[in-house]
Formats: sequence, C-alpha cells, structure tokens
Amino acid sequence: MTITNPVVLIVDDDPAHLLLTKRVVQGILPSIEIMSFAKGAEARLWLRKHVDHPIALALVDLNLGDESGLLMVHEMRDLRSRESVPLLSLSTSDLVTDIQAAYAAGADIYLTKSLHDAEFKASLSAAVRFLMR
Amino acid sequence: MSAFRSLTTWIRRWRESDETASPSAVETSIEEKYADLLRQFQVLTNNLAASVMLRDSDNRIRYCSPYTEVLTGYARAEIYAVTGDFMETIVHPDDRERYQRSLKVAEFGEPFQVRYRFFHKSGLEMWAESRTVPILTDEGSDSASLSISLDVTATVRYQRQIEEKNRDLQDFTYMVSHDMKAPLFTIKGMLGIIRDDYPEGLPSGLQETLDHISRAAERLDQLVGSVLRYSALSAEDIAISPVDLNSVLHDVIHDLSPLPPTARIAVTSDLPIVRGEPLKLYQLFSNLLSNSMKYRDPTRDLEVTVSTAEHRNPHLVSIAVRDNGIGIPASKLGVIFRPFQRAHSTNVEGSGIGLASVKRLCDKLGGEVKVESSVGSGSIFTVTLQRGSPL
Repeated sequence: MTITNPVVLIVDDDPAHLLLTKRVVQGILPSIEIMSFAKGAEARLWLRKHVDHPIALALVDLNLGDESGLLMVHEMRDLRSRESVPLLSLSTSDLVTDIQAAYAAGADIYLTKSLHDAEFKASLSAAVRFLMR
Repeated sequence: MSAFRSLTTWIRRWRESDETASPSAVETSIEEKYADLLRQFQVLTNNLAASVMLRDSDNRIRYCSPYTEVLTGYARAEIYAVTGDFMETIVHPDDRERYQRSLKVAEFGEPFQVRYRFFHKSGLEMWAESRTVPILTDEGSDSASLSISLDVTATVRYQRQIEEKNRDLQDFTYMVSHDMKAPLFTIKGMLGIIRDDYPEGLPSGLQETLDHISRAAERLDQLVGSVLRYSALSAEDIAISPVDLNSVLHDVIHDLSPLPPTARIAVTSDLPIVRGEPLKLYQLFSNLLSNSMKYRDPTRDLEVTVSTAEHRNPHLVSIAVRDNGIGIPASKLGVIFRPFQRAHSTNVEGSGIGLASVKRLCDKLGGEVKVESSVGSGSIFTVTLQRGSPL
C-alpha cells in the first residue's frame, strides 16, 4: 500500500508569478510537494487522473491565458468539495465583479496580486497559513 | 393651442354676457377672428419642420400638419382614416408599451414627452420625440390633445455612436491598464526575490540600479492605478439626493487636518444644499483643496477660502475655492482639466488626474467647473452645481 502525501497545486500561466507564489508557499511549507501548472488544461487533466490524490491546498490564478481561471475553479469544485480542498484564487484585478465571480465559483479566498511585493507576500503567507490550519 | 381655447371661452362668455348684442354682428366678428386665427395656425403648421397633430378624446387624429407626411411617409387621408391613434399603429413593438403609458398621462390632463421608435411607410426604422399637451375642452370641441413630433433619428444615431465609442474607449483603457499590472507585479516580485536571496546586501552599483528599477515600477504602478480610478469614475452611476455641502466641506477639511502651521482653510459663508452624492462631492472638494495645498507658494502662508456665489440661473449655485498659491500660467489654463496634463510637472507629487476627476465629477453631477488664475497671486476654482431642495 502506498501512502500518498498531500500536494499543493499552483496554476498560473505567468512563469514569474508562478515562481513568486511557489517561493512563498515553500517558505511556509518547506517539505510539501508542489505541483505547478502553466495551463488550466494540464491542471484539469491531472485532477481527473488523480481523483483520490489528497490536495492540501490549491492556488489558482484567474487570468489564465488558455482559458478562464474561473472555469478551473468551477471544475475543481465539481471534483473536490470545499471541505477537502481549500482553494485560494489569485488575480491582478480588484474589480468587485471579478471578486464576486470567484467566490461564487467556489474560491475560499480571493487575493489581489498587490504591486507591493512585501504586502503580497505577507497576505499570501497569512492566507496559506489560515487555510492550512 | 391656447388661442383655440381662449377663442371658445371667449365665444361662450360673449354669448352669456351680451344677450342684447345683435347676433349677426357677434357672429361676423367671431368668424373674422376665427378665420384670422386659423390662417395664423395654418401658416405656422405648414412651415414647421415638425409634425403637429390634434387628437380627439379617442386619440384619433383629427388634424395633422403637412410635415406629418414627410415624417411618417403616410398621406394625411390615410392618417385621418385610422379610428384610434394612428401613431400607435406604426410605433415599434418594443416601444409600444412606453408610448401607450405616456398617452395615458395625457388622458389625465398632464403634458408628456416621449421618445420612441416607429416605422416609416418605407419600412425604415426611425426615432421621434413627441411632446403632447392636453387641451381643456369646452363643450362641443373635438380636440383633446395637441402633439408636436420631431424626427430625432439622426440625433439618436449620433448619441448611440458616441456612447458606443465611449464604452470602447473605457474598455480599452481598462484592459490596457489592467494588462500592465501583471508585468509590473513580475518586476516588483523579482526585485523582491533578488533582495531576499542576498540578505547580506548587494554590491552598491547593483543596488542603486535595482533601486532605480523599483522606483520606476512604483511610478508606473501609480499611473496605472490612476487610469483605472479615472476610468471607473465614468462607469459608476451616481445616486442623486440633496446634500448639505457644509457637512461635506467639514469632512474634507477634517481629513486634511492637521494642516501645516503655514496653511489655513476657511469656509467664509454658509454653503448651500446641492444635488449630488456625498462621497462624490467629498472627492470633488477633496481634490480641489489638496490641489491648493500642493501648489502653494513657498514664500508666503497659504490661505484658502471656500465661499458660495449666486448663479444667474436660480436652479444653480456656485462655490468658489480661492487660494493664494503659485497660480497657473495662462497657456496651461485650457488643459488642466484634461487627464495627465499638469501645469507644473516638476517636483510636485501627483498622478495628473486630480483636476480631471473634478471635471468629470462636475459633469456627472450636471454642473461645471471653471478656473481663473494668475501666476504669483493664486487661483479661483468655481464649481457650479444644481441646488437641492432643503433636507
């Protein structure tokens, strides 16, 4: 019998943003395995193939190039319940309508990619810690 | 139409009061007067580039001016043949309900104005604007209302085009500034990574270069934020209600406090109640007062006064914000209300949308803003707003 360790899923089509998010998560959870995806389609494929693989946390960028990140959030919620996977959505938008849409799709936290580096790191760290309690 | 009304009233009074007068003399004089009025009415309606219609109490058109044929494409005989309201038979189905609703208002004796689409006989979709006034009927009169209808097709079309262009421009502004945020986030994030990876510090030359990049990114960030805020201003709807400007100015000054000891802001008269939204009016005056604070003359104490000025139009009121700052050169007065145009580009912090926002807010509130200024003595910004009814 194999014991599968929970992974953290990060989906972001911008490699630099992916790197930034990854580093913050690694800072808090140094030993956890991170699965990162640049395309929504790849992430969804992985999810369908690993329906039983425990996911500790999912971080999804809402401005994915190949598709709407919202679709990704919806699909994630179809496959995994709120109880089983905490979902953090990330976006450069601070539009109320975008924020409402993300929560409606099933996000637990909506985080704006703040242009103040320190502020972004602090809020992302706090959000990750909160969701991983 | 009041001529018709007064005529019938006049005839009735004449008959009641002067029974001794020779009937034939009275009738001759009535006929002459009537014929004269009718001639005047016909000259007017025959030459008007508007359709004049007289309807009876069943809304049937009993008279319409020649231009009606141009407007609708139908001959007048065809129009008179319709037993109900002719216009209702050619009004666009989507506008029929609105049109009928407004007709009801006229039945209750109130004038109404309505803009609606209708089909010209050729099949062309057109826009008309009709103003209908009820006619107080005397017994025997068959006119219940008079309407004047104008062809506003071209106006509506231009209006639509402008609205569409504005929307496109807004979408474009939003998209561009939004798409700038992602690479900016990368630049700042990567600078953070470099700093984190070298906790013991960087070679001084490299550190200075990175600081330059960081400051440039910061500035771009502010600009993008300003564009987004400015474009959001035009998209937002304003809920209009009466607002006491005294309390708005009180909040603005309170939030700017504590003022430096060399600056004074005084409200020198009781301010009016205006039509607006408290937050928008706060933004408007906050922008104006911050502007005075920013562009002060360093050689003297800053004095800012806010006072009410009467307007020739009794429905409007002006508020003057006067300062003794550095003033604005005459050559710049024409552009200062445009976004990202600054009279003094050097050494004063600002994103260049403060006064543009003031103008946009005034436009939205149905008012306007003007400026008078002379270099060295200061500026007067005059904001004109609509008076609100007392609270």
